[in-house]
Amino acid sequence: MTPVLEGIGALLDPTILLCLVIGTLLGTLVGAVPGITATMAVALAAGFTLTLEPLQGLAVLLSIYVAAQFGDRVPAILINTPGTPASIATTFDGYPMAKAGRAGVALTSSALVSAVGSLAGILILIFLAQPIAGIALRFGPIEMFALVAFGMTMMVGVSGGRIVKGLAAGALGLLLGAVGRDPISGEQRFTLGIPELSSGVPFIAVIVGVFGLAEVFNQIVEARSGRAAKPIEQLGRWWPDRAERRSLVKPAGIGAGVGAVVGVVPAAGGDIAGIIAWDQARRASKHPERFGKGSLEGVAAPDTASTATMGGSVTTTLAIGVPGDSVMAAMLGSMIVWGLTPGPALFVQNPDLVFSIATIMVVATVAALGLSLVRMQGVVNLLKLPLNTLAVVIITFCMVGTFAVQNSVFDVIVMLVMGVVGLGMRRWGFPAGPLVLGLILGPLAESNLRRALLIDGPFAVLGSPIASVLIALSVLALVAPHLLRILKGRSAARARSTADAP
Amino acid sequence: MSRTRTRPVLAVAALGAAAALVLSGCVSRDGGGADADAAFPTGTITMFTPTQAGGATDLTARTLASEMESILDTSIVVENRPGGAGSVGMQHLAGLSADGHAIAVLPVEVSMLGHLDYEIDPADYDFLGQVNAQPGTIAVPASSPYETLDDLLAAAEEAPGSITVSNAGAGSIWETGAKALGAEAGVEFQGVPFDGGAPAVTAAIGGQVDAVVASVAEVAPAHDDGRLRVLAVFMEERAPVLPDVPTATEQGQDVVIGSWAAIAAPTGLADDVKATLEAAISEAVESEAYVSFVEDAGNIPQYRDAAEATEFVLAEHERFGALLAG
Amino acid sequence: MSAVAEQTVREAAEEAVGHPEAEPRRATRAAETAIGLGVVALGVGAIVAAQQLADLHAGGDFGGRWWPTVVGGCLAVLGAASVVSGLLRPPAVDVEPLRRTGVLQLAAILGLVVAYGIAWQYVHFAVVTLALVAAIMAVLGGRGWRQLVLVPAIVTAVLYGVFGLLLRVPL
Repeated sequence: MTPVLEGIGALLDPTILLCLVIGTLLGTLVGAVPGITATMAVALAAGFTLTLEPLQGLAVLLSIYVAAQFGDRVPAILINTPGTPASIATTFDGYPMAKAGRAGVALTSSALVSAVGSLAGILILIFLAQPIAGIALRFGPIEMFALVAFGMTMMVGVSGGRIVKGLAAGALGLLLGAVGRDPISGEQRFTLGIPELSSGVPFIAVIVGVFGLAEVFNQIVEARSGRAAKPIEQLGRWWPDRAERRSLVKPAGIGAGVGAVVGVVPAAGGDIAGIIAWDQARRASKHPERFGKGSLEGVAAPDTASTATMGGSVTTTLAIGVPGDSVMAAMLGSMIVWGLTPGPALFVQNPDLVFSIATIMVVATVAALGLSLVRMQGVVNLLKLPLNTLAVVIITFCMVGTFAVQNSVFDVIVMLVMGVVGLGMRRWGFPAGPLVLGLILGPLAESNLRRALLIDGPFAVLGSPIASVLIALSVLALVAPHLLRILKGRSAARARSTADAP
Repeated sequence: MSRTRTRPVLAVAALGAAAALVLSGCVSRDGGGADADAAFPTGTITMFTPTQAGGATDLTARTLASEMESILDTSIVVENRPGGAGSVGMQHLAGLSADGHAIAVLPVEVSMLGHLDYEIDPADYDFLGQVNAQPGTIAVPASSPYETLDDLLAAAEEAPGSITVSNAGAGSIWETGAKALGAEAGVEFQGVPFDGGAPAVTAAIGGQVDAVVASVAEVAPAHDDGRLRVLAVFMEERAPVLPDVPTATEQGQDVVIGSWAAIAAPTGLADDVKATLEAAISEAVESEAYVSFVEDAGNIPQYRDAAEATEFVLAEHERFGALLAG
Repeated sequence: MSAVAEQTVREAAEEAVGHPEAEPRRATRAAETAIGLGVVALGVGAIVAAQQLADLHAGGDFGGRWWPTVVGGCLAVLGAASVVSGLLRPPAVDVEPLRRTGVLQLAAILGLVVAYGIAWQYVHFAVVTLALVAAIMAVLGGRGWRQLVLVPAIVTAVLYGVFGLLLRVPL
């Protein structure tokens, strides 16, 4: 037990507490501003924290990491714009809830389940780091491809009933994901001679464009009497009632499980976990038809999942030295400079550090939860703004936030173009979720599949049990709903489906 | 809210004018044009990096910048301009005015991208000094049957293209490193580009590939705890952090290749500005903070002055031209 | 304002309880066909463009072309499927009809943003942002000093404070 006490004891220093507070405040702030991601905030802060002691620096960086995952829910729920990619799936049900006057319940529940997810992930870090390191190492290109393929089956669920158009939007996302240098040969593909496109279409710009800007644009073109329609008029109750609290349990459990697994996988983070959890919770729900239309379960599942990935990501990063997600990639550089080179040796040489990190994350989670619950009262004032003011605030913050990601005007142009594309998609009945899913997963799918083919040739999948299972699950995910319907066909399901038909 | 009907256009114009007055004291976006008479530096220096914040090049820039700030007695702001494998930031620097207030940390890619279909030419920059060296290595999984570089090369010779070698990405220095070794030894490897150095090294640790070409810093920890076996380092002498690993040259393969970083400015700096910056860089590179930063990360704080660095970059440019054409 | 607000609330409330709408508006067959054909064109375009990619370092059968080709093919098939399903049963429309003023306002805002982007290269961020915010406010019906002076000043100050000063973004 000594490493535990040493690890926690090392934190009994007022400066570390101060660092935690600063990190939590910064994290919540950057999380709430669309465009600026936790990755970027951690990377920027790393420049300042290098001069600090390792534990002080880690306190700042980890609490930014944790708190950003609370802050980013707020714009996702209130203005349909994910504050960071981790809350993409929060928009699916959070925004419909807000439009229905239940923003208060959505925000509070989201903060609560985010805290649960975060703590679940940290438990994994504490108890399962070593065995998990072994599993993560076995995730080579073919296993990664299989996981991504499983993720792509979620396009169907995310389409919200408009399957053909949803899949078309997903294919468009995959196509956008193919822009840039070929991941294997380095050849230019569809880059039109624009150097910025060599590294691919900037996906944060796309997310902000198709979710946030498109929503504002749509309100403007639907405007009544020369004013933008107000997105949300009332926040409703704050605290979820008893029935609502009970309905949170199952999706939060699913979310925590999905998040823990996805978090462990290198390079897969909260965005992917959120979407997978949303779809799994929908399948498991008693009311799948409410998903996408303002289901509280649909908020709880992705929010638990994306925070649960943090513990897994930190585990992978510490245990095998491979960044578990993009935030950890930025943090890894600082850790190496501090002489805390991640890898199995870290657990032998600095076992107390793991407990210090876990404790920092627990404290940051509690602080971020408290801040979220307190701060929400302030959110009311934002929504009391006149309609046109709100539109201006969203447009300008999206523009400057997107610029800040890479200090690039090109990204802002992409965001504006995608705002107009998103408006078109909206008006013509194409859901935006699959597009973003395709853009995120496409490059991962292609590059890992082609790597696997280079290594093992065409029968790569057969050689890997993990990949085979995941591919089988993907097929099942696509086929099972239909099979179930056929099996149940003779009983209640048939009655319901005939009732549904016009 | 519709009671006051002031003409909005007028209001906006008046507002703009007022704001312009208030802010006329502020520095313009392009930085103050340096007075010919005033001693350099006359204002804030911006140090660009063509990479994301938080990466190795970015941290190099930030460490150097904080040292150079006290040497030059001015403030130095680090600005990231990532994208396009670094070409976006490099082109940005080349387009700025050569008054010494815009400098950048440029990685080895500056001498490679021109051969990879990007519009980057080392001749567009005045190099002020090399600040580090990150030598390459080739390593195999601990469980690998190949004990020496010769074993690995013999296997590659026996079945061309059967030995898979991971690297940090298409067009990266480590892909080129594997090619250079193959060309020297007359064998053919199957290169497998990953998305960054860490995943490439992990693929070797996990045994998904037969070998990995990566920097000393990336493989040394795994070599030390026995997950990887480094077969050779691609430098003139043995690496300080891997004293037991022979160089490729010792094993009969004359391959010296690695990543590096240099400080550069747009071409056409005045001689006195250049001298001031060069002196500041050479002092910063020797500072304790910088040296320990580089060595802690497992790299080498190798310094070359402006003339040597320029010669070195041009030589690298020429050599990569031959390697990348193949 | 209040009338608009009430209307929105009522709609929101209706949505909340899932009020059965009388008869959902349906898209026209012509529009659905045009949209679907647009998707088909996009997919075919992608396939054509993929064939023209240089593939010098060809990785055997699985070079840089095959992925965009496969995706383009999927897109074309899905577009065709969308045409068919649109003809069989035009989908319900879940958006409000367009308003002419709204479209003009959006066009004006996009124009302003482009002008802003150009002006920004020459003028300080705070000045152009102040002007942009005021102009967009004016386009969206803002009147009076609060909306045309106070709001732009606050928005600009917050943006500059958060991004320029706190996050050190080179604005």
